[in-house]
Amino acid sequence: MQAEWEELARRNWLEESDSQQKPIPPSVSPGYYFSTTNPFRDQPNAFIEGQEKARQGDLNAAVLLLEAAILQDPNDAEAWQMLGTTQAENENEQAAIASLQRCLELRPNNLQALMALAVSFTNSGLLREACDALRRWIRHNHRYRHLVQDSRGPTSPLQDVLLLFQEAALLNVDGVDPDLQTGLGVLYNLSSEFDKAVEAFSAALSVRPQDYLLWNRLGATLANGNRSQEAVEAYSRALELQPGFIRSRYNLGISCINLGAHREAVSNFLTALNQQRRSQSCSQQQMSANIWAALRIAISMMDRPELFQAANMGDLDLLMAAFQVGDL
Amino acid sequence: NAVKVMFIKRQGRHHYLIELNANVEITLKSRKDYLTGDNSDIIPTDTIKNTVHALAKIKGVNTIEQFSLDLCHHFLTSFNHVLRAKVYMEEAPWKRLNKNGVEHAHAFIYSPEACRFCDVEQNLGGTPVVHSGVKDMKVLKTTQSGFEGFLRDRFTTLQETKDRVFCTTVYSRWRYNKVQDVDFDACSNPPLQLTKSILKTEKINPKRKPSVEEIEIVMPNQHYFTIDMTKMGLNNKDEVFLPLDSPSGNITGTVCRKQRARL
Repeated sequence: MQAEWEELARRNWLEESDSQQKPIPPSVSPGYYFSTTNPFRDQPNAFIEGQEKARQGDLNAAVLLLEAAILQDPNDAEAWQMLGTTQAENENEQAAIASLQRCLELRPNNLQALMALAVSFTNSGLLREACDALRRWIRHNHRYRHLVQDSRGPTSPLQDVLLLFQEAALLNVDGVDPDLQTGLGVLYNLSSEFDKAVEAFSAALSVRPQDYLLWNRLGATLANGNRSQEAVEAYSRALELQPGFIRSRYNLGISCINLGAHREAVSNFLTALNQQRRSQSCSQQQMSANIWAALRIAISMMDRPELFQAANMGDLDLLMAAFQVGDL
Repeated sequence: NAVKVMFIKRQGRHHYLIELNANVEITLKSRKDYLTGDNSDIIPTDTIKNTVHALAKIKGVNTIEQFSLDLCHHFLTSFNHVLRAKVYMEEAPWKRLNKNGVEHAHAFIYSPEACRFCDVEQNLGGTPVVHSGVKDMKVLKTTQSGFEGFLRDRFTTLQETKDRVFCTTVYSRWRYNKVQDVDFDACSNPPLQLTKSILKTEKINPKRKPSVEEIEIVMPNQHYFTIDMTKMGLNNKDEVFLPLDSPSGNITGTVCRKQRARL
């Protein structure tokens, strides 16, 4: 009886009452919460369709399709990776971290997953874990792995990895390695050397000017370095390239708050939340908690107590009407 | 509401106790109980009460915040029709008996200096939002408090003063920006340190506690008025006061950390 209780308390229980769907095997990632009603559960080619939805900017649908692909094959490392990066774009950091970690359990040398994980750890304030992920990135990268030595004297983990990346950058005499520069940008964010981080991301963008993720990273670096106006320009560029990029719209809202443009901030947050809600094929509320928190803060600065109440209650429709935010 | 539980952990001769009072609210996906009287989806409140008891045994109770998180997690993952779980918990202020700086192994005294509480809310598929707080903490200082330079209009009769008695009952609630690896005890204990920070400025808290995202403080100004004894021929030099806790002015403020942009 006790064992049953403990199992109940531990399991992420997904069985439908009509019992046509298979229960989740216990080996699936314990940290990742799958959606309980997934209309794409048995969809063939779920992974490919998920990729397509992500490309189109419908991130919520992409997440459901990728989850379906994983439920059909829990060892699909590529699907776990894509789910991780899509969740990050959808401003769901915890889900992103859980997915990427699962991907790396299956494929420990997956460079894209390691870089994405380092970014997510950085956003979560987990410095040690971020440095660890970047160290692994260098170690598994055939171009730079020879630079890794075990003991480097009494320096901090951050300085250690930073030195590695700087040495690696010096090897690239002919051109810029945008992934390496991304790693440098992340490290300079951790060390709060924002101007150097801006240089790194700008260098990466010179090679990949259409990469909306890089534009957002540049913007976030500028914002955290108190260059809010320039941050807004970078985010706008990212959103031009990918209008469904929820994270960038969230960041844009934050910069609006910092610039005192509270109305614009609220408008951006509401747009993002509406995009998330509208895309959801099932009835569940799957909007990002971060965006709601930021929305509450923006409204609290506007001296409209009735709207603040609506924000506390999660009444998106009322707020959208009040700020005249329509469907995109 | 008001599910009361006390949990004891025994480590040899040293006993630890925590007593709490919990309100649990869950939101279900279906409405058929309201519309057609079909009860098949309902989790009885009696079950909820039993669950609180049982989880105290299964998971143990370390802090009210962690136990609240465990409760939310249980209700969201053990069923597939629970959309949201909200838990509010208060901790009973038991303090270990202390004699000459030596703490007793198993004797406690009820010390209601402040009431520590928390509330946790989590949507299905979302991350939990944790608030902690202290309330009913009544503090008073007898000097080094003044109030002057305020706006005067035709309804103003208040006299300016450089020195007065200041008393308040502190209510403070703050939100965490992460739920793993947070030392909830360090943020909520001891209440005395909080008093000192509040009486200085709200700025102190965010720097010392990086996992605190936002903090709200409410302080009613509970008045003590010098009694005018001139009609009795006595010169009351701010020695005898009339406690008058209502009506009271209410001062509130919320400070939040500057939001970080996400790479």
